[in-house]
Amino acid sequence: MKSSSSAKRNALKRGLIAGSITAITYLLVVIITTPNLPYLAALTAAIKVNGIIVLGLAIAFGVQIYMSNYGKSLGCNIVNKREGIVGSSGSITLSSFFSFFSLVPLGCCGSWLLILSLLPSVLGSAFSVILIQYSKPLSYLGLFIVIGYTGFSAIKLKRELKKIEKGKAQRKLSFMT
Amino acid sequence: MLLTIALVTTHLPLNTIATVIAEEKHIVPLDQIVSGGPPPDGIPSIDSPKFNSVIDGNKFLGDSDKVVGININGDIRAYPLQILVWHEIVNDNVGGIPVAITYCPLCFTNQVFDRTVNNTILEFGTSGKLYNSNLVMYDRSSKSLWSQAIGEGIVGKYAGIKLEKLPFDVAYWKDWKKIYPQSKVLSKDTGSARPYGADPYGDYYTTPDILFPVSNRDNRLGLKEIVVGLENRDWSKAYKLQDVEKLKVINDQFNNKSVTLFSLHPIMARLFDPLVNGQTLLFRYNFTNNTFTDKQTGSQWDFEGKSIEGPMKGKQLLRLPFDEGYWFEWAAFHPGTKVYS
Repeated sequence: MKSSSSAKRNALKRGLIAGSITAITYLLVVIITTPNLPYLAALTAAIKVNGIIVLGLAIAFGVQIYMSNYGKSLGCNIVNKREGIVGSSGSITLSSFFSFFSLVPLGCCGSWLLILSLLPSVLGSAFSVILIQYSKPLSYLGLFIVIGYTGFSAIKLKRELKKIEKGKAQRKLSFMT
Repeated sequence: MLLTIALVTTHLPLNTIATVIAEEKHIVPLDQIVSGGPPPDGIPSIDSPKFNSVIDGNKFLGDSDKVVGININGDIRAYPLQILVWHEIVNDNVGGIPVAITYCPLCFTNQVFDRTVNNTILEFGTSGKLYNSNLVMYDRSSKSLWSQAIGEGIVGKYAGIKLEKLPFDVAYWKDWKKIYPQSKVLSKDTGSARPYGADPYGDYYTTPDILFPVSNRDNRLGLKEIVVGLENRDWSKAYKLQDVEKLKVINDQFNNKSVTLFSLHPIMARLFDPLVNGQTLLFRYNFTNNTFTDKQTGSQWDFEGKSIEGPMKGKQLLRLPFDEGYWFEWAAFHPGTKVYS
């Protein structure tokens, strides 16, 4: 087991990288799909429209990775890879996807209008209409799920830390007696 | 790697791609024509439109749905914006005239053009490019690019050629079907599966801001104020649609020519030449019977510009086309435009 501060530092580094990658990937997709706008205008627009989503997803995912790594360094697996990371990634993808719908007004006959127009051939017209009409709440639902996973991980980590502290205290007590 | 390639290629201005495709003729700077993302016809035009009756139209249109309406030689048709938003262009034949009904949701510019140019009937598609954030169309025979907002060829064989604009209405379905119960309405059976009824632009129309830069920002009016615009060579003048709606009739001068604007229904305005029998008529609105009276002869006129009572009975005012769209778009294409006040 690594020393606690170095483990924290490493976990923090990974969390920051994960959060940054999430935000950068999101913004790259915005730049690619709005070629009519200068980079800066595309980024400003994305942050103006979906700032809460971008920031929220980046922070929530970053924190989750931090906790997962910190927990691992303490010898406990607080985030089940399949349920936690994969679940979060799926929610991030969905949340991002739905939030991208609000980028349609960034360009007449733009990429997102094209992507949305292809939805009915995959999902059917009626379902597509619902997804488009409720894209904003759906993107926030995705963010909420990611935050939920993160919160769940935080609770588990706290519990594990308590257990470790308790174990330490018991060991100390038995050593003294 | 893929991201980088996509990033670089999608941001290349048109003039960098194949160094202006054999140095084509153009009337606007090529670096201002940018890719919107999709390829040509990625947003498919409707080329074999089918039509329903008003009764069938009621099955998918609500009273507050907007339509672009035209009446050419008694052939009356409505094109719902909920369909146009997914296609942007309808190539149609109305009253024996080949027309293109076009809509750029971003600028809220609706335009109806005669598709005949130099005795050739053109068919238009979406090029996937934008000029001043406005739809750039292309014609499928010469591949020339056309700006929808100004109705003019901007790159290629037809650069500098203007399309003939035709008068049209933008109206609520409720009003349109009341005025023209015999109207046909564009069917949702367009040949493409699209989520008609869902507007991908969300609350864009109701938020005051725009999220993209425009070449000439003019703060005299709100960016998304809908204006009716008149242009003639270097002259241009904009009228707030709200003003036309409120006043019901505007008698004005444009480039030393008299013009009259009528409005009897929300969001519906019509432009007429008030010259009849060598006499320039001035109109006022009659609250009592929802008609217009000319001050010179006291004759009454309806919204179609036809005299229905008085010495001028049976006379018809010449209806003129105009541009309609958001102020930011009008100001971008017409820097220094006058504004009616």
